[in-house]
Amino acid sequence: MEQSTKASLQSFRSNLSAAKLALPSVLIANNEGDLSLMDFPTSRHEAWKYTRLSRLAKIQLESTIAAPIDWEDFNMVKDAYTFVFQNTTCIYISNDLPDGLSIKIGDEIATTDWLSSINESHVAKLNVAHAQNGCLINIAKGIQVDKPIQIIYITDGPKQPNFWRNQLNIEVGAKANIHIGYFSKDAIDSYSNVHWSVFLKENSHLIMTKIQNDGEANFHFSTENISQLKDSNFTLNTVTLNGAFVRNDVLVHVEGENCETHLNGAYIMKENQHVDNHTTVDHIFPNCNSYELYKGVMDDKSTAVFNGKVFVRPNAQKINAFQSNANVLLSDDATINSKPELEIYADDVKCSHGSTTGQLDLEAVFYLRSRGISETEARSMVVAAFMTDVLSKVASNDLKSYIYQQLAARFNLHLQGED
Amino acid sequence: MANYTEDELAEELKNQEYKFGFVSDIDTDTIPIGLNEDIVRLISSKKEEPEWLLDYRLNALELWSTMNEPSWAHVKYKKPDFQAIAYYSAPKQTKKYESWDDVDPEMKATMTKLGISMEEQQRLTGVAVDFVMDSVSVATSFKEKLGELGIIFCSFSEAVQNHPELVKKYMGTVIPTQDNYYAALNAAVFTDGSFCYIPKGVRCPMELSTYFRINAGGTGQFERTLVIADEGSYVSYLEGCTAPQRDENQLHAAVVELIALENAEIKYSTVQNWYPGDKNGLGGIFNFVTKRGICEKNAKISWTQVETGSAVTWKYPSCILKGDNSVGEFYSVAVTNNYQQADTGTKMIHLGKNTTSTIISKGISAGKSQNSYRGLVQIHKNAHNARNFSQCDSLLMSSECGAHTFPYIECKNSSAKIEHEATTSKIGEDQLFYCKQRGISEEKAIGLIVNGYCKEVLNQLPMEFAVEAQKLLTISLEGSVG
Repeated sequence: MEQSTKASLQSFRSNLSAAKLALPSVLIANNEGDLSLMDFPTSRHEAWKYTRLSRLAKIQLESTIAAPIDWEDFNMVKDAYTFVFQNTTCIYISNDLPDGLSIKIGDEIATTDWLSSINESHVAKLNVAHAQNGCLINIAKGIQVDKPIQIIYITDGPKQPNFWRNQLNIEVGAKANIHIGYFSKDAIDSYSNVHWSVFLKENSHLIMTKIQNDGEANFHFSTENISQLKDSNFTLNTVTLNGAFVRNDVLVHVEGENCETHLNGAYIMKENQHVDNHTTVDHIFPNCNSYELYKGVMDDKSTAVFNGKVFVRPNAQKINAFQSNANVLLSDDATINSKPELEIYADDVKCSHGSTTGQLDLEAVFYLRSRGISETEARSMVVAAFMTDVLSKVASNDLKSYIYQQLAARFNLHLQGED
Repeated sequence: MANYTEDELAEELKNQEYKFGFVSDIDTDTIPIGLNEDIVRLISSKKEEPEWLLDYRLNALELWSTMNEPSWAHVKYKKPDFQAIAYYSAPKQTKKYESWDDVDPEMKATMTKLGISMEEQQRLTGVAVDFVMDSVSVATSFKEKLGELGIIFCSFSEAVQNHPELVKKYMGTVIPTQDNYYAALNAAVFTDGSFCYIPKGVRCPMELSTYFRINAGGTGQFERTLVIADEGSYVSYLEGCTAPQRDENQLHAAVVELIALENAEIKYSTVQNWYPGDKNGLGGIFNFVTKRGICEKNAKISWTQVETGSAVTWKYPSCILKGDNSVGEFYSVAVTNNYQQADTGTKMIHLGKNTTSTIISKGISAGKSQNSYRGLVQIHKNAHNARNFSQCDSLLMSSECGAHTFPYIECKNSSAKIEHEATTSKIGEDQLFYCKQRGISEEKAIGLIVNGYCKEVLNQLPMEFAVEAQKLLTISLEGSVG
């Protein structure tokens, strides 16, 4: 039994090419050895209890060369510094980068540029073994980037494997707002695996917003490893709009005092979609705050998994950590598995978490209907109202209108900008 | 005392020793250590059991030998050596007592030290006590009175002899042998326990109570409790546990099965005060217990527990809400001190329509202890209008202890409503200040706050137990409860 699953990970990898990025030895050491001993995790693995990979394991990936496309079709916001990857090729780079913002793509990134960012999951290890392309973004000391940085990843073609590895360095006192979009075109049984290593130096400020708008038959694995130093402020917004199978692993190491961490997530799903959000906030130093809000709506046969973990290490006193997960099921075939966890080893802390699961507020629907609004319309208004607070956390108005536009097109949900 | 601080409280907690640490000098009949088929046959023959029960035990032993000890709980301990345990220990005079006067005075003294003086209880409280000392039930009171109503309340071995049809019908139906490692072990070697049957439509007029106590060294205690509430009946059942002070870790692996048939209600309350080990984390009981109840239509099961003892606790009293409109409740206070570790919580499995469950869990950790809540709320596809409310609070009393929450929420029905909330904090300085500025000393204030914090759960306990539970809280957190 054991043997056959190991064989399945090996056979899954058999057509994948070795990493093209010049990764440092600290990352590569043992990686291949570890992988050869690993297999696809089964539901017996706590972190994969509700997310089955057996369907993925059967897919034989094959890299193909895609025809040129017009990336403008996937553009989220007009006014931004933009990069576009079509599969593992970088097809567009804005040429008007301001001082202090430097971007290196693929083989421009030297081995010494990569900082160590170890993650033990098989997803991250696969990324190290097969990383094909990616970018390294550096925001210099004290620089506030005037426009958002936008990175668009397009998975093009069936059974396409895409391994991207990226790094973000936000230097002391720097400030940036990054929009990342994941899309796909004709991607049937394609696989994308993206890894972000994010380093926030002292007093830096970063807002990262991920829009996951993959095709309906795509497997998407996203890992974010974040390290925060003293006085830094980090926000991650994860908005999952589409994708057959989406897994997000977010790991925040708070490695300095007076840090602030915000994790927000919105997932709106239908059909057979599966979304799995795993987050960990690891408080190693005292006097920090973290806030987490994940909200989701599941229709049809979709399933969602939420696992949020807050660690407070010994002596990390005066931590305020709040975590909240709210779900609405619209259909009896939809499933939610929620597991908010607290692991606290210090006493002078205020930590809480909450999780709710329910249906649409029928009284609210009735109220709207009694005023002449149709059932469908009323329901979608209530869903929109439910999602508003988490979506309003997306700071950029341009991006927010993009999200609202997508929601209107895909789910007939009409949200209003509040500006 | 005016300057009594939380630091001092923590210091006192560290030095707090176990007050029930005495060994009764009673001759016991112990069989050789080890676990194999012969031992199981020996236990079975000593208890003069019928063939089917021996087969049940042997089957369990076989299953157990193929299973692995679970390691998912948030506890660290040295795995018990199952071959170094004596699986049967009975006080030597196993003859039935004609009257209360026949009972060994030494044993009576033990009970008095435990604070459950039987005479007193018989006379004053009307509680019927089934007292289990090292596996064999030695005295059962009020049996006659219960008999008039058709209530069967006896030791498990008596039930096997006198009511085999009931035991055979219900035993292992809620917790099958292969359920988990310790349930299988229990099924193979269980020595005694309590059995209770409430006939149709009978409301049990008094609280039924069992007191467990591990006495002999190097023995494990493996009881099995089976409570059956027939249609429309009601019973409130109390269980209390203590163990004397011993250096080696003793194992306690019990199985409790509750069956609430249509419209029945079972209220099961536990005060667990096994020996927690000394302040260096030496010794103490390993408490690995499987407790589960099944609710038929309109039935209700309510678990209330106050956990103050044991070195390692691994316990999840659960409810299977099978029938429509059934109700499951779980109220728990878990206190850990010194090096104690507790991983406890509940499972609420909603299968029927309109099922409701409530979970209130209060953890208090002090010293260097680790206290975890682990719970599962599962709403199955056909459980329309299921409702769950969970609240898990943790109070931290020292900077070296830990409090953890691991709730699992699985929902497959859109009409279900599930709420879960958890908080972790220490006693608020603002709360202390508020009390102090009204002239309440710091110590009293801490007591007041801890008491208030646990009130929701303590209120659920029957009167007789609430007093004892409060006493236990006082002992476990001495100096803090005013």
